[in-house]
Amino acid sequence: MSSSSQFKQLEKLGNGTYATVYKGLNKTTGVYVALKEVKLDSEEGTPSTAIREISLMKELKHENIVRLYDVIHTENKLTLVFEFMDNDLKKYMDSRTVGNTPRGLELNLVKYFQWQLLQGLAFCHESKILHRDLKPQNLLINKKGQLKLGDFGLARAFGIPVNTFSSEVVTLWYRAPDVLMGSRTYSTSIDIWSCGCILAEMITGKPLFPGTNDEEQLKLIFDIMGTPNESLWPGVTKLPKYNPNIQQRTPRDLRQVLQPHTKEPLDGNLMDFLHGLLQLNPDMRLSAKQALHHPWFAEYYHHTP
Amino acid sequence: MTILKDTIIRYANASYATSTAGSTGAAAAAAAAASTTSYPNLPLLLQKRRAIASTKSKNPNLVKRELQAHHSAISEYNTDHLNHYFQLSRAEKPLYNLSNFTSQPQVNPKMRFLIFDFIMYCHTRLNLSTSTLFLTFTILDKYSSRFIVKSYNYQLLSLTALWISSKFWDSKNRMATLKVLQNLCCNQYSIKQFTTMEMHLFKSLDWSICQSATFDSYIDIFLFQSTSPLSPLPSLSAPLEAFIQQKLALLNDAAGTAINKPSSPQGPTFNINEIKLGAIMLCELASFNLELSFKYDRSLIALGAINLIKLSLNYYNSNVWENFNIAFEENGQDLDIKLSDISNTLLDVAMDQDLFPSSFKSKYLNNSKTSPAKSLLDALQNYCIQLKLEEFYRSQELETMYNGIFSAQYYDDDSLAGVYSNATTPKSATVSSATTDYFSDHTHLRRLTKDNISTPFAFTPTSSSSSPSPFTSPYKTSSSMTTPDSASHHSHSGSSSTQNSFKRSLSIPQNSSIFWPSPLTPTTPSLMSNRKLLQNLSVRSKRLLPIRGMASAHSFAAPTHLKKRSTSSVDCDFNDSSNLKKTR
Repeated sequence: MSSSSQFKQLEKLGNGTYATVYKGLNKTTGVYVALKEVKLDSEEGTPSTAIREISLMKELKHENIVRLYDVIHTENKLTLVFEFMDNDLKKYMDSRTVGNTPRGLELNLVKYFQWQLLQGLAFCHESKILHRDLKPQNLLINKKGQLKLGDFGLARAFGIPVNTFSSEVVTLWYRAPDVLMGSRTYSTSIDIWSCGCILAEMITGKPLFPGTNDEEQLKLIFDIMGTPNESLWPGVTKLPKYNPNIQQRTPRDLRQVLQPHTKEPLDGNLMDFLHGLLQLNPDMRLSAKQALHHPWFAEYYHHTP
Repeated sequence: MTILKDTIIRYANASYATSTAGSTGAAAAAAAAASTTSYPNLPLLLQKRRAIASTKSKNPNLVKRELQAHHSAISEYNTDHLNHYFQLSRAEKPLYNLSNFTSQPQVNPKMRFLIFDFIMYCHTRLNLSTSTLFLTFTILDKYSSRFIVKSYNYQLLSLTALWISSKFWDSKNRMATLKVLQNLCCNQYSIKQFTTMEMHLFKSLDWSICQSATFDSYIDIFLFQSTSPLSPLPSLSAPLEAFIQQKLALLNDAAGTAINKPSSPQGPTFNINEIKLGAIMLCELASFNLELSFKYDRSLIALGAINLIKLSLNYYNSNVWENFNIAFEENGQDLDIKLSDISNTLLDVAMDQDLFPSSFKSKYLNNSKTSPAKSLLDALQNYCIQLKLEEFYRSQELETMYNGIFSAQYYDDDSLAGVYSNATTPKSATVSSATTDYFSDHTHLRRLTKDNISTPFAFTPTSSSSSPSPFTSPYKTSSSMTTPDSASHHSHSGSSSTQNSFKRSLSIPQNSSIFWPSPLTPTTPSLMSNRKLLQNLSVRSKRLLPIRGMASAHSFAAPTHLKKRSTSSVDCDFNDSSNLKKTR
């Protein structure tokens, strides 16, 4: 168990969902860490988010998930000591913007990142954990090109007879349409939709569905993916927030949407893969495991033993 | 060092002052979480939630469909989840230590019972999720296996454990708040005490307390597997895991199909929720039992509970009887015996309603006259009574058996002379086919009692172990007995070694024939006096002819009696022989 005196607090890295994150230096080992500070409420003690994040991350030991080294308790706050990562995906993509036009990543890098993202996510799902807040800001990268899932502040374990969860999860841009329409018994498919949004964003350099509120978000999604109906998605009209008066749209070709923003040609495998992740009907979406076996990743899984 | 600490605290305070989001309490965390959009205030959120809930309640189809979607997603990860729990279990196993708990200076098993009772009462009152209750219990047991618990702190410890579990599992609007918890213990402890204890619990158990392989998680995963047969599991090396997989497959074979088609008109139908409720009730009771919670693996207990409930419901609803002990004993493996021990303890615990924790009674038995919980308990008790009865019969028959053996000694030699002179070798062929017929006819009996399996061996005298097939062995011995020497000289007191062995070797088959004329039956005296009948009888019983066949082959005095007794006598035979072996 380390003590707080072991770490030197350096610059602020950002505000997490319920805490502030600083860069820190382990004075004994000279290793950089990320220090996440959580305030302890005098009335409610340790916030439930912190309890969940700590207990879940303690178990999650995977090379594509940020490691939680330690938890330090001082007076009225908790400090979570995480593995330090150089950057996050959002900042990395922003840094590549030339002038005002965002630029996507090279497709090779996109594929490597997406592969690591799905590896980490598959491990979470196998351990019965939903991340529920996948977005570029929460994907941390280092100089070796490794990508790790971070910030499990909204994560939670899911049971088998489904628990109802809050539908106020996942940052709006990466929120699945079923959740947007009020479904609260979502499961692993919610994280997959976010993965699809992230993949498109890595290709083009800008968010795919940048809505400002629930209605606009749904509209943006339907503009590109088409308006769902009972035949494509049985039961959609029964969703609590389904709007029957919404303008009917036919799906657009995703390749035409994305191609103008990248120089490299987008091949059929990639488009098929992206469609697999961005299915409106949650039942139709690929699972993380299935996604890892998609032909687009052929070069990776053929080399892994 | 202190200076640095101060600076860190100052930093922290500065950050609190600047950041307003996230400090508005746990309830606002979800809203604050999605920091890119501004969210309406809490009352609005609540309104939304209510609106959604009411829409849902109007659309039962929606709920069903969502459930299906979730199930299909889950089934893909089913094996992984089971593996995950096995890993958790393995890691947790050394954390439970019964001897450490019993050597607690200030806390004893009785207090544990009372505290658990109290926690369950609070849990019911706060309407928290099932997972919360079991997590609380595991936290308490883990902690008290490693640290000394002061008696005046036990209640505080338990409430804090409940608090933590509730924060982990329950949704925000249900989560137990400190105020409520304080009220539950009559404001005995201050808020400060609660938060200090919370931190102490986290630190002493190294923060990894909420991910735990609890009873409910196992019950869910086992039952889920029975509804959707999963892809074949990778073979696991650890014996416990492999054992559970094998048992699960058996459970699913027996009952899974019925669960799949709840509307099927014939055959036993199971309501999976009924089974789940019953298994959870049993596991709740098991949590109160010191031995069950510390000694055995939770996966085994959950499996035993599900199995028991299924068997009881089967018996209760469709009158299909199956004795779990026998199924387990048959294999005689270490884990089978463990599972049988667990099931027996579970039944014991479920039998005595007077010993139920009061919280359990108030949770399940207080409200209406007919609740599902009550009928489940009835089913369990019926099953238990039937089990006891069966055991009682078996012990009775055993007693008769002993009588048979003693009485046999006085006349067996005379009667046997006839028997064995009649029993010539050519007959053995037909006899053995008859025996196989017998076994195929009575397979249900074989399932009923483990001892049936050893039936053929009952006719294998223990002394003559050279016989290759158990079915033919009696005739081999008999043919050896018909050698002129022993056949002519079997007097009342055989003193030669061959005769001793003869007697010994025959004592077992003999008692099987003597069983019918045992003193308990009204037919006994007449049969005893009629030597001819007795001879026939003994021959036939030795050959293990089915009673049906016997009645048709020889018109027989009082066949109905024999028919009536037949099954029990068969049970009895096997029982006795095995028990005799044990006693020797």
